[in-house]
Amino acid sequence: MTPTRSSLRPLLRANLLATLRNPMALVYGWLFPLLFLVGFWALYGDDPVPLALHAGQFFTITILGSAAFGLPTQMVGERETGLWRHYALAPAPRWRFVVALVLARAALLAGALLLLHWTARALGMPPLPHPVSTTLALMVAALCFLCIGALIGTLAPNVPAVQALGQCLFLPMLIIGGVAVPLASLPGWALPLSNLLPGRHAVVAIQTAVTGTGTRAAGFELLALTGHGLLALLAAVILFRWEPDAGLRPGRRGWLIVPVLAAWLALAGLAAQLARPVPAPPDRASAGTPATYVRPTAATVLPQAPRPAIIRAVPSPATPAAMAAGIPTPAVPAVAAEPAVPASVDLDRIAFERLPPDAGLVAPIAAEPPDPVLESALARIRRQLESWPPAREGDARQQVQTLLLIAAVPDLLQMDPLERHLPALVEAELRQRIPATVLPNLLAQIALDPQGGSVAARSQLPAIGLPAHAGPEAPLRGRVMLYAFKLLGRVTGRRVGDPPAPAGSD
Amino acid sequence: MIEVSGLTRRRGPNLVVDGLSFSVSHGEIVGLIGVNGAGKTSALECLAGLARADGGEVRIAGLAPGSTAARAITGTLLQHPGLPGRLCVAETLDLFARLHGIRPSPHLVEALGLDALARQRVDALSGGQRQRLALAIALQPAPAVLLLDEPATALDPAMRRDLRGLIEEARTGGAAILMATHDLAEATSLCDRVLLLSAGRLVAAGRPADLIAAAGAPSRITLTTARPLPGERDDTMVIETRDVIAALTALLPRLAGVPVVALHVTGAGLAEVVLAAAELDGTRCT
Repeated sequence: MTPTRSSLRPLLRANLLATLRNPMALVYGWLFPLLFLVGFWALYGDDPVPLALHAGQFFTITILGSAAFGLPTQMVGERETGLWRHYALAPAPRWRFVVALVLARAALLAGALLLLHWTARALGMPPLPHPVSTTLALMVAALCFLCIGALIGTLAPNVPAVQALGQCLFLPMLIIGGVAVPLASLPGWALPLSNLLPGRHAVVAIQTAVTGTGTRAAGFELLALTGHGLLALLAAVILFRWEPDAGLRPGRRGWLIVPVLAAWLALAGLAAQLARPVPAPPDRASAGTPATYVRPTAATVLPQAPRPAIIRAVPSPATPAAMAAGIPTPAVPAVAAEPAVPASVDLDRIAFERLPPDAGLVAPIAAEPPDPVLESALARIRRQLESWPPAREGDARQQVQTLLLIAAVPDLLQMDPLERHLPALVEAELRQRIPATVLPNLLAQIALDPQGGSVAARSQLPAIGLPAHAGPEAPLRGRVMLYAFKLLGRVTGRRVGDPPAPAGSD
Repeated sequence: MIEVSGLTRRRGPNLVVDGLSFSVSHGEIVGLIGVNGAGKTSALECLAGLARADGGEVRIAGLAPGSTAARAITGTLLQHPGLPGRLCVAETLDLFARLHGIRPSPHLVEALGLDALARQRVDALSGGQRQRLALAIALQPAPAVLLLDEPATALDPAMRRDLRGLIEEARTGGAAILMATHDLAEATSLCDRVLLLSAGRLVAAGRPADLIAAAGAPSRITLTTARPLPGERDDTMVIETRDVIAALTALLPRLAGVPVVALHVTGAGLAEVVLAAAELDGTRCT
C-alpha cells in the first residue's frame, strides 16, 4: 500500500475523531441548528403545515453556520498550531490534508442535517416527497458553502479574523439574502442584492425539493450554487498557504484571482436576470366555512343524478349550510345497501363569485398551460396516480375528496407554480373517473360538508411525488372545500376562470 | 546523501541563509550550531521542503527537497512540531505511520517511553512528552535522511541518553543525520562533524575536536583549598590557561601544607567556539 493511495482514509478518520471530540464543534454544529429549528417552529406555529414551508431556511442556516465558521476555524486553528506544517512533511499529496478536513466537516454537517430532519419530523413536518432531490440540493448547497468556508480559512490570518470574515458572509445572507428573513418580506432595494448571495439559491433549491416538484424545477439555483462553490474553491486554491505567517501572497498564479472575481460578478449578474419571481408571503388565509359561499335564495336545481353503482352511502347529519342551501343531506361512507344519494343541488344558491380568485394566492387555478418542465412533472404525477391506492379506496365521495387533496395540499404548501396547475389535473381525473351526472353532487357534498369524509390520504401523497401534509386537518379541509366549490363551478359551467375585472379597476 | 550548494534564503529584506554549502553522507551525523538567528532552522526548513530557497541548490538523495519522493525517505523533527491535540498518542503515531505507508514501530514507542502514554490525549501531554512523540513520528519510518531541529529540547537527562542511543542507532542503520542544536556538549560527543553558522554564513566546519583546537580557547582550572593560599584573598582560585600541565606544575609549590578541597579542570569546548564566532560577527549570544 503506497502512502499516496492510503493517505486519505487515515486522515479522514483522524479528522473525524478530532471533530467529534471537539465539544465546541458539536455545540455549534449540532446543538445550535436544533435551537434554530425550535425557534422556527415556535415562530411559525400558525403555518398550515409545521415547518415544511421553512425547510429551505433552517437547512441553509445550518449549512451556512458550519461552513462559514466551523470549517475555517478548524483550518486556521490547525495552521496556527503548526499541524499543517507537520502534515506537509509526510509523503502524501498535500491537497489530501485539506480534502480530508473538508470531508470530515461535510460528515459533521450531514449528521447535523439528519438530526435536523428527524427533529423536524418529530415536530410535525411531513415526510420528504423527494428524498433524492432533497439530498442532492443539500449536498450541492453544502459543498458550495464548504468551498466558501475554505476560502475564508485561507484568507483569515487567525481565528478572530475567521469570526469577522464569517460574519461578513453570514449576516448579509441571513438578513438580505432570503435565509432568515424570507424573500417575500424584503424591501425592494434588497431583492437585487439577494441575487448576489448564494444563500438565496440554497434556500430556493432546498425548498423546491422539500415542498416543490424536486430539484428539476431548481436547475438554475443548483447551477448558481455550483458556480459560487467552484469560484470560491478556485480562489482558495490560488491563495492557499500552509504557513500561519505566510501572508496573502498569491504567487505566480495570483493573476487568476482577477478572472475569478470577474466570473463571480458575471454569475451574480446572471442570477439577477434569471432569478425566479419572489415567492408570495406565507399563505395562512382562512378558507371560510361553507356558509360563506351560500346565498339565501334558490333558483336553478341540478337534475337528479342517476344512482351510480359504486356509491354506498347513508345520510349523515345535515349541516346548517347544507340545510340553508336546500341541499339534501350529504352522504358518508357506510355499509348500508341502499345509499341515499342527494337528489339535487341548488346551484343558484352557491355564491361562486365569492370564491377566491383563480389568480390569487388561495386556491389558485392556472389560466395558462404549463411550461414543459411543469408538464413533465404533471405527467409524472398523472402516471403515478393511476396506481395510487388511496384514489380507489372508499365510496365515490371519498374518492373525490381524496383526489381533491392533490390540489389542496400543494396549495397550502405554496408549491408555486405547480399548485396552480394541479387543479386542472384533478378536474381531468375526476371527469375521467366519475360519471358526469354524479360528479357535481359529490363535489357539492364535499363543499358543503368539508368536515365529512377522511383526509388520511394526505400522508400518502409522497407516493405520487407530492409532499405529505401533517398537523391540524382544519386548514386542509378548508382548501378541499374551496377546490370542491371551484371545480363544481367548472364542471357545471357556472364559474370557469375568474370573472372579468370591473371597468376602471386595476 | 544531503547535498547543499550555495543555499540562500531571505526573510523579507534579510538574508537569513547566505550561500551555505555542505554535504552529509550515509551513516554520518552532522551538527548545525550557532547562536539564535544564525540560520540553522531556516536552512533545515529548506532541506525539509517547508521553505523555498531563494538561491542555490539542495538535493536529498538526488531528489528535490519537498518532493513526495524526498519526503518519503526523510524524517524531520521540527522545532515546534504541531500535533493533533484531540487524538491520543497511539492514534497520532498510527496516523503519521500510515501517511508513510507503514505501521507504528513498537520498539520506538517503548524506547521513547510512549507505551505508557498510548491512550493519553496529545493536548494533555507535557512539553517533554510532546517532544518524545514528535521524535517517534520522525524516526518511525526508519528514514534514510534525518533532519532534527533541537531534538533534546525539554527532555530529561534519562530521555536525552535514550535519544542519543536512538540517533546512534539510526547512524548505524546508514542514515544521514543533520541536527541543529544548542546542546554543544551533545554535539561534541555525538556529531562526526559540526557546521558553525553565524549570520546565515558557514564560518567553520570540521570535527568538534579540531574546531576547538583551532579556536585556541583556554582551559579553566578551578582550585578550592582549606584556606587561601599565600598571596590570595579567597580560598578558590580560577586559572585560565592554554597549557594545563604547566599551570598545575607552577601551582604545586604554593600548596605546601594547605589541604586541597576540590580541583576541576575544564577543557575548552564548542561553546567557546560559538561565542568567538558570534563576537566576531557582532551578533548576540543567548
